[in-house]
Amino acid sequence: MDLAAHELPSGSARLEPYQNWLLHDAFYSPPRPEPHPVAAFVLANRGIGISLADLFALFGSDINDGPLLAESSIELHRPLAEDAEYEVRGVIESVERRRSRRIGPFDRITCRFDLLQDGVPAATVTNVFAVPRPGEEGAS
Amino acid sequence: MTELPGWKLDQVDPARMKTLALLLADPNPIHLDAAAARRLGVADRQVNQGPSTMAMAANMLLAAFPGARLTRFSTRLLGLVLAGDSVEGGGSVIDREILDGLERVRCQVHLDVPGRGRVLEGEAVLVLPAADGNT
Repeated sequence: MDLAAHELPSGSARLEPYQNWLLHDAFYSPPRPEPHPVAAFVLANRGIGISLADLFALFGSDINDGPLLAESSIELHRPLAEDAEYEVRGVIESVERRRSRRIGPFDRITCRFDLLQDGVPAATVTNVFAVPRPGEEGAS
Repeated sequence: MTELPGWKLDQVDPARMKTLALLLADPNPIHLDAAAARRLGVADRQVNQGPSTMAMAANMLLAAFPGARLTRFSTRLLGLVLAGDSVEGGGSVIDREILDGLERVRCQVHLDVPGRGRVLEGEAVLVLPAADGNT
Protein backbone atom coordinates (compact mmCIF):
# COMPACT_ATOMS: atom_id res chain seq x y z
CA MET A 1 0.00 0.00 0.00
CA ASP A 2 1.36 3.39 -1.01
CA LEU A 3 0.98 5.51 2.09
CA ALA A 4 2.08 8.88 0.67
CA ALA A 5 -0.82 11.34 0.45
CA HIS A 6 -3.02 8.92 2.40
CA GLU A 7 -5.60 10.95 4.32
CA LEU A 8 -6.21 9.90 7.89
CA PRO A 9 -9.73 9.90 9.32
CA SER A 10 -10.50 13.24 10.88
CA GLY A 11 -11.71 13.66 14.44
CA SER A 12 -11.80 16.19 17.23
CA ALA A 13 -10.26 16.90 20.60
CA ARG A 14 -10.79 19.22 23.50
CA LEU A 15 -8.52 20.07 26.40
CA GLU A 16 -10.78 20.38 29.40
CA PRO A 17 -9.55 22.68 32.18
CA TYR A 18 -8.51 19.79 34.46
CA GLN A 19 -6.69 18.16 31.55
CA ASN A 20 -4.95 21.46 30.80
CA TRP A 21 -3.81 21.60 34.44
CA LEU A 22 -2.59 18.00 34.31
CA LEU A 23 -0.81 18.57 31.00
CA HIS A 24 1.08 21.59 32.31
CA ASP A 25 2.09 19.54 35.34
CA ALA A 26 3.14 16.58 33.17
CA PHE A 27 5.20 19.01 31.07
CA TYR A 28 7.02 20.50 34.13
CA SER A 29 5.21 23.78 33.51
CA PRO A 30 3.32 25.84 36.14
CA PRO A 31 -0.40 25.28 35.46
CA ARG A 32 -2.17 28.26 33.90
CA PRO A 33 -5.32 28.75 31.78
CA GLU A 34 -3.37 29.13 28.51
CA PRO A 35 -2.44 25.67 27.21
CA HIS A 36 1.23 24.80 26.86
CA PRO A 37 2.39 25.26 23.23
CA VAL A 38 3.18 21.53 22.99
CA ALA A 39 -0.49 20.87 23.83
CA ALA A 40 -0.97 21.14 20.04
CA PHE A 41 0.89 17.82 19.75
CA VAL A 42 -1.38 16.24 22.37
CA LEU A 43 -4.56 17.53 20.71
CA ALA A 44 -3.38 16.24 17.32
CA ASN A 45 -2.44 12.86 18.73
CA ARG A 46 -5.70 12.42 20.59
CA GLY A 47 -8.01 14.10 18.12
CA ILE A 48 -7.08 12.39 14.89
CA GLY A 49 -9.65 9.73 14.05
CA ILE A 50 -7.26 6.80 14.35
CA SER A 51 -5.53 5.44 17.43
CA LEU A 52 -1.77 5.54 17.71
CA ALA A 53 -1.69 1.73 17.64
CA ASP A 54 -3.82 1.69 14.46
CA LEU A 55 -1.67 4.43 12.90
CA PHE A 56 1.44 2.31 13.42
CA ALA A 57 -0.47 -0.73 12.10
CA LEU A 58 -1.23 1.35 8.99
CA PHE A 59 2.53 1.94 8.72
CA GLY A 60 2.95 -1.86 8.75
CA SER A 61 4.51 -1.65 12.20
CA ASP A 62 3.54 -2.39 15.76
CA ILE A 63 3.64 0.10 18.60
CA ASN A 64 5.81 -2.43 20.46
CA ASP A 65 8.31 -2.81 17.60
CA GLY A 66 10.10 0.43 18.23
CA PRO A 67 8.71 3.11 15.90
CA LEU A 68 10.36 6.35 17.02
CA LEU A 69 9.27 9.96 16.87
CA ALA A 70 12.32 11.41 15.12
CA GLU A 71 11.23 14.98 14.47
CA SER A 72 8.28 17.19 15.31
CA SER A 73 7.32 20.70 14.27
CA ILE A 74 4.54 22.79 15.73
CA GLU A 75 3.21 25.93 14.12
CA LEU A 76 0.72 27.86 16.21
CA HIS A 77 -1.39 30.08 13.96
CA ARG A 78 -3.23 31.47 16.99
CA PRO A 79 -3.04 30.84 20.74
CA LEU A 80 -4.58 27.56 21.87
CA ALA A 81 -7.44 27.66 24.32
CA GLU A 82 -8.60 25.27 27.01
CA ASP A 83 -12.10 23.83 26.71
CA ALA A 84 -12.22 24.65 22.97
CA GLU A 85 -13.21 22.06 20.38
CA TYR A 86 -10.56 21.40 17.74
CA GLU A 87 -11.21 19.52 14.53
CA VAL A 88 -8.14 17.46 13.65
CA ARG A 89 -7.33 16.52 10.06
CA GLY A 90 -4.32 14.45 9.11
CA VAL A 91 -2.43 13.20 6.10
CA ILE A 92 0.63 11.03 5.55
CA GLU A 93 2.73 13.44 3.53
CA SER A 94 5.66 11.26 2.53
CA VAL A 95 7.43 7.96 3.02
CA GLU A 96 11.18 7.73 2.38
CA ARG A 97 13.29 4.62 2.72
CA ARG A 98 16.52 5.29 4.63
CA ARG A 99 19.19 3.29 6.40
CA SER A 100 20.89 3.99 9.70
CA ARG A 101 23.78 2.24 11.40
CA ARG A 102 21.78 1.93 14.59
CA ILE A 103 18.43 0.58 13.37
CA GLY A 104 19.26 -0.58 9.81
CA PRO A 105 16.66 0.03 7.08
CA PHE A 106 13.77 2.21 8.14
CA ASP A 107 11.00 4.29 6.63
CA ARG A 108 10.93 7.97 7.45
CA ILE A 109 7.19 8.68 7.51
CA THR A 110 5.99 12.29 7.68
CA CYS A 111 2.47 13.00 8.94
CA ARG A 112 0.84 16.41 9.05
CA PHE A 113 -2.02 17.22 11.41
CA ASP A 114 -4.09 20.39 11.09
CA LEU A 115 -6.05 21.69 14.07
CA LEU A 116 -9.02 23.92 13.27
CA GLN A 117 -11.18 25.87 15.70
CA ASP A 118 -14.57 26.83 14.22
CA GLY A 119 -13.10 26.11 10.78
CA VAL A 120 -10.16 28.47 11.29
CA PRO A 121 -6.61 27.01 11.30
CA ALA A 122 -5.25 27.06 14.85
CA ALA A 123 -2.14 24.89 14.63
CA THR A 124 -0.22 22.54 12.37
CA VAL A 125 1.77 19.65 13.81
CA THR A 126 4.16 17.75 11.55
CA ASN A 127 5.59 14.55 12.96
CA VAL A 128 8.30 12.40 11.40
CA PHE A 129 8.40 8.79 12.52
CA ALA A 130 11.28 6.39 11.96
CA VAL A 131 9.75 2.97 11.38
CA PRO A 132 12.29 0.11 11.36
CA ARG A 133 12.10 -2.28 8.39
CA PRO A 134 14.35 -5.11 9.52
CA GLY A 135 15.52 -7.36 6.68
CA GLU A 136 14.06 -5.20 3.93
CA GLU A 137 16.24 -4.13 1.01
CA GLY A 138 16.07 -0.96 -1.02
CA ALA A 139 17.44 1.35 1.61
CA SER A 140 19.47 4.20 0.19
CA MET B 1 24.49 36.12 18.88
CA THR B 2 22.92 36.16 22.35
CA GLU B 3 23.16 33.04 24.49
CA LEU B 4 20.01 31.92 26.29
CA PRO B 5 20.22 31.45 30.06
CA GLY B 6 21.14 27.89 31.01
CA TRP B 7 18.29 25.62 32.04
CA LYS B 8 18.18 22.42 34.09
CA LEU B 9 15.65 19.82 35.19
CA ASP B 10 17.03 17.86 38.13
CA GLN B 11 15.13 14.63 37.60
CA VAL B 12 12.73 13.22 35.03
CA ASP B 13 9.69 11.92 36.89
CA PRO B 14 8.13 8.61 35.71
CA ALA B 15 4.80 9.49 37.39
CA ARG B 16 4.40 12.41 34.97
CA MET B 17 4.92 10.01 32.06
CA LYS B 18 1.90 8.02 33.23
CA THR B 19 -0.28 11.14 33.30
CA LEU B 20 0.97 12.12 29.87
CA ALA B 21 0.32 8.63 28.47
CA LEU B 22 -3.35 9.08 29.42
CA LEU B 23 -3.56 12.61 28.00
CA LEU B 24 -1.86 11.50 24.77
CA ALA B 25 -3.83 8.24 24.52
CA ASP B 26 -0.44 6.61 23.99
CA PRO B 27 -0.45 2.96 25.11
CA ASN B 28 3.26 2.33 24.48
CA PRO B 29 4.39 0.45 27.62
CA ILE B 30 7.95 1.81 27.50
CA HIS B 31 6.57 5.05 28.98
CA LEU B 32 4.80 3.26 31.83
CA ASP B 33 6.67 0.20 32.86
CA ALA B 34 10.42 -0.13 33.37
CA ALA B 35 10.13 -3.92 33.02
CA ALA B 36 8.50 -3.49 29.59
CA ALA B 37 11.23 -1.09 28.49
CA ARG B 38 13.82 -3.70 29.57
CA ARG B 39 11.92 -6.59 27.95
CA LEU B 40 11.70 -4.72 24.63
CA GLY B 41 15.42 -3.96 24.78
CA VAL B 42 14.81 -0.20 24.72
CA ALA B 43 16.18 0.93 28.07
CA ASP B 44 16.46 -0.11 31.70
CA ARG B 45 13.99 2.56 32.83
CA GLN B 46 10.80 4.21 31.56
CA VAL B 47 11.33 6.31 28.43
CA ASN B 48 10.12 9.90 28.47
CA GLN B 49 7.64 10.71 25.70
CA GLY B 50 8.98 12.81 22.83
CA PRO B 51 6.47 15.65 23.36
CA SER B 52 7.52 15.86 27.02
CA THR B 53 11.13 16.35 25.99
CA MET B 54 9.96 18.96 23.48
CA ALA B 55 8.03 20.68 26.26
CA MET B 56 11.21 20.96 28.34
CA ALA B 57 12.86 22.92 25.53
CA ALA B 58 9.75 25.08 25.18
CA ASN B 59 9.83 25.73 28.94
CA MET B 60 13.42 26.90 28.65
CA LEU B 61 12.47 29.33 25.86
CA LEU B 62 9.45 30.69 27.73
CA ALA B 63 11.60 31.18 30.83
CA ALA B 64 14.12 33.12 28.74
CA PHE B 65 11.39 35.35 27.26
CA PRO B 66 8.68 35.84 29.91
CA GLY B 67 5.29 36.67 28.41
CA ALA B 68 6.35 35.65 24.89
CA ARG B 69 4.24 33.45 22.62
CA LEU B 70 5.88 30.49 20.91
CA THR B 71 4.62 30.41 17.32
CA ARG B 72 6.99 27.96 15.60
CA PHE B 73 8.93 25.12 17.14
CA SER B 74 10.85 22.48 15.18
CA THR B 75 12.72 19.74 16.96
CA ARG B 76 14.86 16.72 16.19
CA LEU B 77 14.82 14.04 18.86
CA LEU B 78 18.32 12.59 18.94
CA GLY B 79 18.34 10.32 21.97
CA LEU B 80 16.23 8.87 24.74
CA VAL B 81 15.44 10.68 27.96
CA LEU B 82 14.85 8.20 30.77
CA ALA B 83 13.21 8.25 34.18
CA GLY B 84 15.58 9.70 36.75
CA ASP B 85 17.73 11.54 34.18
CA SER B 86 18.71 15.12 34.72
CA VAL B 87 18.36 17.31 31.62
CA GLU B 88 20.31 20.46 30.80
CA GLY B 89 19.49 22.94 28.10
CA GLY B 90 20.92 25.88 26.25
CA GLY B 91 20.63 27.84 23.07
CA SER B 92 21.04 31.19 21.41
CA VAL B 93 19.13 33.92 19.62
CA ILE B 94 20.00 33.75 15.91
CA ASP B 95 17.74 36.44 14.49
CA ARG B 96 15.45 39.27 15.55
CA GLU B 97 12.89 41.14 13.46
CA ILE B 98 9.95 43.48 13.92
CA LEU B 99 6.78 42.33 12.21
CA ASP B 100 3.42 44.10 12.56
CA GLY B 101 4.92 46.14 15.38
CA LEU B 102 5.93 43.08 17.43
CA GLU B 103 9.44 41.77 17.95
CA ARG B 104 10.07 38.19 16.90
CA VAL B 105 13.12 36.25 17.97
CA ARG B 106 14.40 33.11 16.29
CA CYS B 107 16.37 30.79 18.54
CA GLN B 108 18.37 27.59 18.36
CA VAL B 109 17.92 25.29 21.33
CA HIS B 110 19.36 22.03 22.56
CA LEU B 111 18.92 19.63 25.46
CA ASP B 112 21.56 17.27 26.83
CA VAL B 113 21.50 14.40 29.30
CA PRO B 114 24.79 14.63 31.19
CA GLY B 115 26.85 11.52 30.45
CA ARG B 116 24.78 10.43 27.44
CA GLY B 117 24.92 13.50 25.22
CA ARG B 118 22.53 15.50 23.13
CA VAL B 119 18.89 14.42 23.09
CA LEU B 120 17.19 17.31 21.29
CA GLU B 121 18.07 20.06 18.85
CA GLY B 122 15.60 22.57 17.59
CA GLU B 123 14.68 25.98 16.36
CA ALA B 124 11.89 28.24 17.56
CA VAL B 125 10.24 31.56 16.84
CA LEU B 126 8.74 33.56 19.70
CA VAL B 127 6.69 36.74 19.54
CA LEU B 128 7.69 39.02 22.39
CA PRO B 129 5.06 40.92 24.34
CA ALA B 130 4.39 44.50 23.32
CA ALA B 131 4.83 47.29 25.80
CA ASP B 132 1.14 46.87 26.73
CA GLY B 133 1.73 43.15 27.41
CA ASN B 134 -0.08 41.82 24.33
CA THR B 135 1.40 39.36 21.81
